[in-house]
Amino acid sequence: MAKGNPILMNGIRHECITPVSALDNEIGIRSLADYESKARYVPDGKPGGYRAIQHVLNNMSPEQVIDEVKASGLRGKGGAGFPTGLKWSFVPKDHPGPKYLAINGDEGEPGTFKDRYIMEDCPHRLIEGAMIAMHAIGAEQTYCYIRGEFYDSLRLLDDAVKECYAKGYLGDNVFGTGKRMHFQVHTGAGAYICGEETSMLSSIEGSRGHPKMKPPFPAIEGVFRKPTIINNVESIACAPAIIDAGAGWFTARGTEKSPGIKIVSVSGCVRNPGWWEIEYGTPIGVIVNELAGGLLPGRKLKGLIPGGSSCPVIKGEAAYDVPFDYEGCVAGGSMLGSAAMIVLDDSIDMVGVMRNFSKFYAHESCGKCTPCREGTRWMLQIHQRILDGGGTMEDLDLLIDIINGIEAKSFCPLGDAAAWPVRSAVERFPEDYIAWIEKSSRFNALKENGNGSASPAGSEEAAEVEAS
Amino acid sequence: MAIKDIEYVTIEVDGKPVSLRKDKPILWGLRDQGFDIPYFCAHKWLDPLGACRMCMVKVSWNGKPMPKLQISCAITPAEGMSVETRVDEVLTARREQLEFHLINHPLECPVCDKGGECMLQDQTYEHGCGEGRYTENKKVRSDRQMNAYIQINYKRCIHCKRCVGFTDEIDNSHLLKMVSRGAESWIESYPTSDDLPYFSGNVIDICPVGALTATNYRFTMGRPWEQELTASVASLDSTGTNIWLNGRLGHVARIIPRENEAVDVGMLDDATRFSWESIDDPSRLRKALVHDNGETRSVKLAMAQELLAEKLSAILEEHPSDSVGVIAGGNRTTEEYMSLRHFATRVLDTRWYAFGEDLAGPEGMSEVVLDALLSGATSIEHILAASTILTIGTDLWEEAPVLGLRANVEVRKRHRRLVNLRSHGSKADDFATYIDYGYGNLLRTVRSATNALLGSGARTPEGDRLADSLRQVGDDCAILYGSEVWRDPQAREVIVAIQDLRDAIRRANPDCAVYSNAVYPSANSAGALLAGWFTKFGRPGSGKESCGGIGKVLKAAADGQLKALFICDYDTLSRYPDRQLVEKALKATGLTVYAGSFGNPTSTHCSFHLPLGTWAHFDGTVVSLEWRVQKRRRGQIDSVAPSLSELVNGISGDMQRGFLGTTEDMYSQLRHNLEFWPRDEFGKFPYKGVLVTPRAKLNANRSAVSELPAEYGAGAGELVVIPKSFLYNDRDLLANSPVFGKVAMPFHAFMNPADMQAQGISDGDTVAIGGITLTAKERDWVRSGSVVVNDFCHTAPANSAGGPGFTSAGIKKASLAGSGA
Ligand SMILES: Cc1cc2nc3c(=O)[nH]c(=O)nc-3n(C[C@H](O)[C@H](O)[C@H](O)COP(=O)(O)O)c2cc1C
Ligand code: SF4
Ligand code: SF4
Ligand code: FES
Repeated sequence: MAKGNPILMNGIRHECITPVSALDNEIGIRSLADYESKARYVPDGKPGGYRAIQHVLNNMSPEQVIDEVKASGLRGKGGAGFPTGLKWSFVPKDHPGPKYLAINGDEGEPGTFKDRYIMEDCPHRLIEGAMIAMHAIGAEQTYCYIRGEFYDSLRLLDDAVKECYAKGYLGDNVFGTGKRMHFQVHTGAGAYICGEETSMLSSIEGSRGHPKMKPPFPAIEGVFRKPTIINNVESIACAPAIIDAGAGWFTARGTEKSPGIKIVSVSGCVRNPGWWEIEYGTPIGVIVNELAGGLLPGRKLKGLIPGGSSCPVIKGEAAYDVPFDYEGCVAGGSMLGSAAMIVLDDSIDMVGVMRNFSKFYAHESCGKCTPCREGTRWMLQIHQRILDGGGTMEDLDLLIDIINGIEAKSFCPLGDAAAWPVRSAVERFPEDYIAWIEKSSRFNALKENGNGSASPAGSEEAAEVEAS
Repeated sequence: MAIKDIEYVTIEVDGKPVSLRKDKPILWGLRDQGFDIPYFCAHKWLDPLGACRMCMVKVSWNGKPMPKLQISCAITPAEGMSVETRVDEVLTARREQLEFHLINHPLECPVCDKGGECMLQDQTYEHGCGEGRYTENKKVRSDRQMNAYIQINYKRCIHCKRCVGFTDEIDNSHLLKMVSRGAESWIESYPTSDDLPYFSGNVIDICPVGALTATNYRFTMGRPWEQELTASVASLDSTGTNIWLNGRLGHVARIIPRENEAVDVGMLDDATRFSWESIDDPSRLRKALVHDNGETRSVKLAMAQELLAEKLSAILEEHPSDSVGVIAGGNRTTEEYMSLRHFATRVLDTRWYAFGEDLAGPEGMSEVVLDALLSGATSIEHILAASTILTIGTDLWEEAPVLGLRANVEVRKRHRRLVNLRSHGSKADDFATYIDYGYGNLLRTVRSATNALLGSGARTPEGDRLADSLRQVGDDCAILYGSEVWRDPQAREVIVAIQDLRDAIRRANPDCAVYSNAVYPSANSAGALLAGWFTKFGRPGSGKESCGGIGKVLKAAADGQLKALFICDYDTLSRYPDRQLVEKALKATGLTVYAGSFGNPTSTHCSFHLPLGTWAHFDGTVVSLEWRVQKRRRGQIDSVAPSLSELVNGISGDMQRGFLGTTEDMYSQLRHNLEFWPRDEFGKFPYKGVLVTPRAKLNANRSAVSELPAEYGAGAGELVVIPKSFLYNDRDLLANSPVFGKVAMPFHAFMNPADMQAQGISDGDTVAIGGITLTAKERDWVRSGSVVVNDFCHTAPANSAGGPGFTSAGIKKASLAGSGA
């Protein structure tokens, strides 16, 4: 295990293990990256870069590529886990004009740090994957949308693209086959919503990053109103491995419904935050305790978010037994999301965490639809008021009502993403809220007036509070 | 494309079968059928946005409910669908969303101009929860002016983004944008300094709350329920846009659109909307002015009328017939035109009567031309549904704004083809195929295109390009032609040539319907045509026939043939293309009378200026470019001046010539004379008007002419002067509305950048064009070699651009002398 740069977390300096494939094989994404000499990612050189795309160009029809990816069971790594091969097959084959591939490298989800390492450490893997995808869907142009803050990713990926153009891997005559394949790197301006696929397309077009109505789905009418396939960086970077080693290699790993490998990024109250490539289905306990080094001494697990800030918090050590795959996380009361594990130990106050989350979502809400625009701000205001000592028991009901108004009713999933974690916190950790509220002057003033009732669990609990 | 049959599908709504249009979101159909589904962001003009989330309903497919509520503004009905609009889940969702809408909304309905017609108010009353739970700080931001007409109150804005949608999707002005993000976002305006707003006022109507209000209405004109509404018709152009004329306490309170789905779908242009102030303008003439020996006296109308009657009687005694000229302007009602024609033919016994806004050029109207004007006209609905729209010499945006706007929307959204044959660029250039014909060569180009389509005769490159764009027009093609045709010295030939082109298009596209509609120079030119102001129309025996054109009247006057000239509501000096001729005519005629609502250069040149009420003061019909007869109704406002009918009846009475008839009488005569005229009674005329197909028994044998006239072009050092009809021309109605004082009206010499550079002129310099000086403005829509000026304006009369000897009707080269400012 190589040691990488230390990163700062919670003000404590942690040694961060640079990502290493937990699978210890040649084919995972990480294993082909090579810091020192990216130039070695050349055909026939070690370790076999651009072998898959040449094989595809010379021997495989687009349908065969799509079938291979379908057979591998590859699921989109951007959050929703939609089967990638199936998505590719949605592009209308007989469409006359241009088609596009758009790669989502926005990586805005708090807690997620995987795509940037792919773009920085193994950009050629991504470019090769994009070429395979372009071949499969019949596109000649890729836009890779990189989050505005990722200066290094932009620079390193751009260098790699230039290198490919210089070598004739990209351009109007790819590997001498006469095919056109272009790759354009595009940066955002730092808006989380631009990771949502339709917003990302709007942003690429130069418009405001507001999500658009579906249908038409991007595969039919996407960027510049042309058929467009959108995939996460990691999904695309998996393609060369699938072609190289075959779908069977992929399905041999992971679970039946979540086959293959996944990068998980672990942050929060662990000794060694970092990212690892794991098989789906690995128990969360293994990831936290074996890969991330476990919690700090003397700490107990209070809650764990398996998939990034948009997912509900799983309460207590039960989280360790949850298998890390799509179905397992849902059964465990949360979601796999973008596989950004946030570990919270018993020193953490949930109200503070949720205030931070709400602040993030209130800031990142695009403002298009009413529930998310107004609801996220309202949630933030309530959390802030509770922390400022102005909470009342009614606030818990109110929060749930606001969440009911946002969840499944906002235009795009950002609203849900803002609502889910707060719901889980209010429902699963009410004691954290009540602790603040009991200290609040407003609550105590109401109580003195004989009016401090209506706690979320009903009046008995309030009565208990009063009695104690 | 043509108009297709509408398909319906029956779905189950709240347990009942309901039949809905297949192509429209269910929200509209359900609301029309009485299901009270609240909504804010959706609008019939706009693509669904899905922002407000008020319109959610529960949808099931074949009995299987969808997991989430669905927004009814975005789903179309289909077989197997069932919808619940009143289940608890839906009602709760409405309350929740309404609460979100209200958390930042101020409680100021009592002082808000929208109060009483506010969607938020209504829907809160119907669907809201009665009390708010929001105790945090509200967002605030201070009010701001969005453009000359509109002010925003940010606190009231509910971020529905309809206004943004309108400026992006409909008028393409991109005036309003949402900036910043999340709850911090707000609507910002980006007015372009040089372009005037044409349709911005529509955002006031479609704003569901009182956030966007009209600057000249807010806080001053009372509440909506205090106003009395009158169904009327806009008066600035020939589209026939329907309006409500609101009166309060005897004054005009505002003009707002009145939706007529066949004409305007509720859109209105800014010029009409904000011109209401002129109707009550205190400087409007209320008494008569008599100019005598360089002295002006203001006298009671009755006295002036008597005086005038005396003078006219004296003239008629000496010269009993054909001694008085009568000119009528284009904004009166058809009934007024009937009265005035009776006055001309019966009382004055003259054939020297003609319509101000000329159609057929100096040689006047003929039966062949009239036939060409009438044939092939169709309705606005058909025009907009046509697969190809061809405009010839007209900038619809300026000359028939609402039609132009709707055509642009059709072309952009529904991928229709728009072909513009034009002399300079327009707002439609981004999505139209355009062919520059080179001003002065309209006849040449139209004929050559016909030749090219028919494969015989002489041709020009422009004609070939036009023909190429017309070889495949689809199912139907609508031709619209306008101002540049009317202004052409060979207007008669051009009008006929357009009919030849129409035949040729039909020949090139068998099975294709080809229509042609004239975009008339004034609101009721078509009514004047029917009332016989150009040539005989309808049953014989309706009086002496008109001499055929204003040019002839003016010429007769200038030649000293006429003893008196009676001009009604037409600023002849500013507007007739040959100003010198008008000056001569006025000088050579002993008695000159101007009857009109406002003072202008012509009225000050006349010995009598008699007051008239404006278009808003009287009942009467107007006929639009699609031959829709509509009734303008008298607003609930005080009038202090007579209608044209009342005035000529009065004069006739004073001359002891008897009573010519009431407005109703005139209407009955029209109905009697014209067999296609609506059969409705005047008092019960339908609110949406009646589409007619005018037919005249004409002796019109048209034979196609294929010869091309010689090419016209500017000489060395010269530029072709193109007079252009702008919506914001210096019309009386606009010039007298204070709000327009705030928008800079475009009385400029618009020039091509290359020409300006070549002549050493820069933007803002004063340039002399013939007899007038104007400010040069750099515009890339002007073709090199030409300069575009307003076709008329009071202060810098463009019709004198050529200086002495300006004889052709509008096409004139002028040497330009640039003088640095
Ligand atoms: C608010 C929001 C933010 C998102 N952000 C990202 C992101 O940063 N990166 C990403 O790959 N997908 C993001 N997604 C998911 C994308 O919309 C999309 O599903 C994904 O890029 C598809 O790629 P995949 O099929 O390869 O997963 C986001 C979705 C939402 C609703
Ligand atoms: S849920 Fe609505 S406001 Fe929030 S980001 Fe999506 S579209 Fe924008
Ligand atoms: S100003 Fe009016 S129309 Fe525009 S977003 Fe606000 S509420 Fe909607
Ligand atoms: S009207 Fe349907 S979401 Fe606003």
